[in-house]
Amino acid sequence: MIAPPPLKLPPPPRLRRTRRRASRVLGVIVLTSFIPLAGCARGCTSSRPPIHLNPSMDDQPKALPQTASTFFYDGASMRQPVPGTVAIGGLKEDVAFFTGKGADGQFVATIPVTADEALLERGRQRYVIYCQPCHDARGDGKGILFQRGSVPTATFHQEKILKYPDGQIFDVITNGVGLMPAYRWPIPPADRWAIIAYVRGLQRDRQARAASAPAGVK
Amino acid sequence: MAQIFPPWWNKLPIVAAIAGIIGPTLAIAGVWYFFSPWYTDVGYRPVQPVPYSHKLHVGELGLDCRYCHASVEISNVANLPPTQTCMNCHQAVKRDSALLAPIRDSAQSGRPMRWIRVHNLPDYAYFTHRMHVTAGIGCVTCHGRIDEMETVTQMTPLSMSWCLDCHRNPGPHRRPVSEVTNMKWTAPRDVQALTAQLDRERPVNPPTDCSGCHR
Ligand code: HEC
Ligand code: HEC
Ligand code: HEC
Ligand code: HEC
Ligand code: HEC
Ligand code: HEC
Repeated sequence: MIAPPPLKLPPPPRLRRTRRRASRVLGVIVLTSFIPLAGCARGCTSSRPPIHLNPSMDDQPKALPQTASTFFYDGASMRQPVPGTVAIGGLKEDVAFFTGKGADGQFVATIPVTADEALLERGRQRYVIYCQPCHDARGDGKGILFQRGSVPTATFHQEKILKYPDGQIFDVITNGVGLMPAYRWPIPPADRWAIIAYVRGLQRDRQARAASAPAGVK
Repeated sequence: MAQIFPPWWNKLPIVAAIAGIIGPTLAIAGVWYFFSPWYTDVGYRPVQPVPYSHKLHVGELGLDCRYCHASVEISNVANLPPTQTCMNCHQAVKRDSALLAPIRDSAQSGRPMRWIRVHNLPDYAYFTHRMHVTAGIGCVTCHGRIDEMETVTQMTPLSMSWCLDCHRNPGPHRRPVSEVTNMKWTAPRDVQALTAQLDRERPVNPPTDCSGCHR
């Protein structure tokens, strides 16, 4: 008699259960490890402030430029100097240079610095940054304000401004006129003179072109 | 006698080996990925009190960075513009826009606008815009394509290793100083010639010693 082949029994129920459980645990681990990835990969945008893993001395209790202050009444940590303060080397003795007016209170006729290549180049740069947005590249006043808001912006090629003494243009940049804002803050005096030299150049170019153009063509 | 170790304990060595490899690998990969400033800092985009758009003002209207951030070439700090700078145009354009109400309030009361800071180094690290801008490092190198952003977003990690990567070899990142604020400038095909020329005209010497940046 031949012995029957050994029975292939299914594994006992307990082992089956643990095996299933083990594979489930592994699956959960693998899946959860992808959750942060799916939520936000490197470089995704968020409006929550960055997490500092080691905040040690990142934010020190000191006043930094352009920060808020709970101490001063106006809420700003940067202070204005007391009126009349003169910084070392900041005594504005050269009245014509800093105000565009001579000792007699009249506008100076010409730029009180030597107009050379370097000054003109500097003037071109600064003109592109600060004046071109409104007065456009050629000084016709067809810039952003004119295009987007129909604001009449002065052209530099009008009789009135051609006749302005240089000091008066300096005064316009410094203090503004009508809708022309004051540019005292971003443009230091030396750059204002450089811009004026460049504007004079624009005017001269236009007039030279008008003079050399055949009659009838403008 | 009841068995102390049921038969499935035989699998323990294999399970332990797999878990011992997967666990630490995941942990290391996780720290490498999620603890890096490329993850924690890059992409920070706070909601500003006024939805000022660089894309409109720079990309479309063509303003230069220095029209507003005027001190970037002369000071450590690139200032945020005072309210008056906005009013230069907005006293005439979009003067009734509800979006600009906080600007008008600020202009009237003299209280500064409270913009929310995006880029912020720890206070123990010293950074200066002037030296980088005058050395011909473009805004776009560190701040990304600002002219395409509706809202300013941090694009670089500003971590120490990021600073040092450039300081050890600044050459390829330099451009002519006149192109610093140009967002669309691309290096010419012959970068080496340009780098050599820039190095001749204005040699640079970025610090890599600790006291250069931690002073
Ligand atoms: C925000 C736009 C804007 C910018 C930028 C601007 N201007 Fe003007 N400018 C105007 C407007 C508008 C007028 C017309 C003012 C008026 O008549 O009310 C004007 C007028 C002028 C005038 C004529 C003033 C007069 O007496 O009639 C001069 C000169 C002038 N601008 C020079 C400049 C210079 C130089 C710069 C660069 C530093 C500059 N502007 C930048 C908008 C601007
Ligand atoms: C019309 C004015 C204006 C111009 C032009 C301008 N900006 Fe800004 N910029 C702002 C204002 C206002 C903020 C603050 C609000 C904000 O973060 O969106 C700012 C914020 C920024 C910030 C984030 C500052 C922080 O908190 O970390 C960066 C970087 C920046 N500008 C870069 C540039 C660059 C580069 C350019 C030139 C391509 C430029 N800006 C042109 C007005 C301007
Ligand atoms: C050179 C001029 C100029 C300057 C300076 C300027 N803007 Fe503007 N801004 C514009 C123009 C032009 C528009 C409108 C564009 C259009 O036609 O939709 C505009 C639109 C806006 C709008 C959208 C308004 C709306 O209702 O759709 C906001 C917000 C704004 N500017 C904020 C600012 C802030 C904040 C500043 C100061 C940091 C600033 N602007 C400086 C010219 C300027
Ligand atoms: C070498 C890299 C680098 C370059 C180039 C650079 N920046 Fe920055 N910028 C930074 C860092 C770093 C900060 C954060 C400074 C801090 O927290 O003290 C910053 C901050 C700013 C701020 C917020 C105010 C401040 O100074 O803290 C503005 C605005 C800004 N940059 C504008 C500009 C403009 C405009 C240019 C181009 C003319 C420019 N940046 C070029 C790295 C750079
Ligand atoms: C893309 C290149 C680049 C990056 C990024 C960069 N730097 Fe620089 N840095 C330079 C160059 C070039 C100089 C050298 C300027 C010189 O010698 O005129 C410099 C100079 C400096 C100086 C010396 C200034 C001085 O007064 O002598 C400091 C401090 C500095 N960097 C800090 C930093 C910090 C902090 C960071 C990171 C947040 C950083 N830099 C990121 C290119 C870079
Ligand atoms: C190019 C500029 C630069 C140089 C050189 C430099 N660091 Fe840093 N360091 C930084 C900046 C930026 C941070 C802030 C990074 C951040 O935001 O986590 C920093 C952060 C640190 C931190 C704090 C790290 C943390 O997360 O708490 C330590 C410690 C440090 N630096 C030590 C050094 C030492 C030591 C040296 C000299 C071998 C050195 N640094 C040289 C720019 C520099």
